[in-house]
Amino acid sequence: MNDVRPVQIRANKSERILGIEWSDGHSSRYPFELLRAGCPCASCRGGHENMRAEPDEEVFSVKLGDVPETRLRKIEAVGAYAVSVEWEDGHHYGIYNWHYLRALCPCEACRQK
Amino acid sequence: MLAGSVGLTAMLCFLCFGVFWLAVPSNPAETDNAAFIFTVIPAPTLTATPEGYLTPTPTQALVSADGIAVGAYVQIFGTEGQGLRLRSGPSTDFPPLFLGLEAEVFKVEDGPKLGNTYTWWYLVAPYDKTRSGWAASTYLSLVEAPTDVP
Repeated sequence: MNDVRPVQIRANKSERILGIEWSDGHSSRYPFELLRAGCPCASCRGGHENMRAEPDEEVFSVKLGDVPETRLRKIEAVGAYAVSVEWEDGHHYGIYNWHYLRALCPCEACRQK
Repeated sequence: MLAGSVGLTAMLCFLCFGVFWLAVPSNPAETDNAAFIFTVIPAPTLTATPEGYLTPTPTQALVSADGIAVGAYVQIFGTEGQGLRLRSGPSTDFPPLFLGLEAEVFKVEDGPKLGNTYTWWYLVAPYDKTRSGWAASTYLSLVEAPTDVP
């Protein structure tokens, strides 16, 4: 799974969904709420001591709603290994690398692994 | 003879430059990112406003039943060591900014506001202004002002 990479990334601000087609054929659909709740930056994870390569399990049950914190302002590629996201509240510290994004996939198959 | 040599040299130079030009990508970053297709679909310009919390009217008391008020100092308690999330707004609808530690002391600088059945206060750590956010009063207890606040 370490070699799995996106072949297509599509951020749909109307549907509030980030869609990723992976090189192994898997499709992931991330609600913006989940992306924000799973922001991997040190501030959102409660300090550097809590930084891990995978998201915390609790982010899958957080309900944030349609608020500035979950409205995507900008998304950019970071080199060829990650994307960075800026939200409408100005938060822009999260860098979502491929490994983290794949671990954040909310589909039933991925959650049961 | 001399003209032939010059012509041959010029042709070799031209061929070498052409091969070099084809071998070097015009922009390495573009080459890296070309591994995937990146698309952003914009949203309609009309956006919703956050709901789910209320701002107290001037007639409401600004001191809660547990004595917490703007200017007071509070301590996080009752989280069984897990700490308390301080959020960007006065409701659990807002994302956590950081985890306040059990027994950590904060100064109350705004509130109260009502959201998700909790009363919320805006707290600022007296020693680090960057540690600030909204916290539910359920896990706060009133303490005396620290004597060594700068």
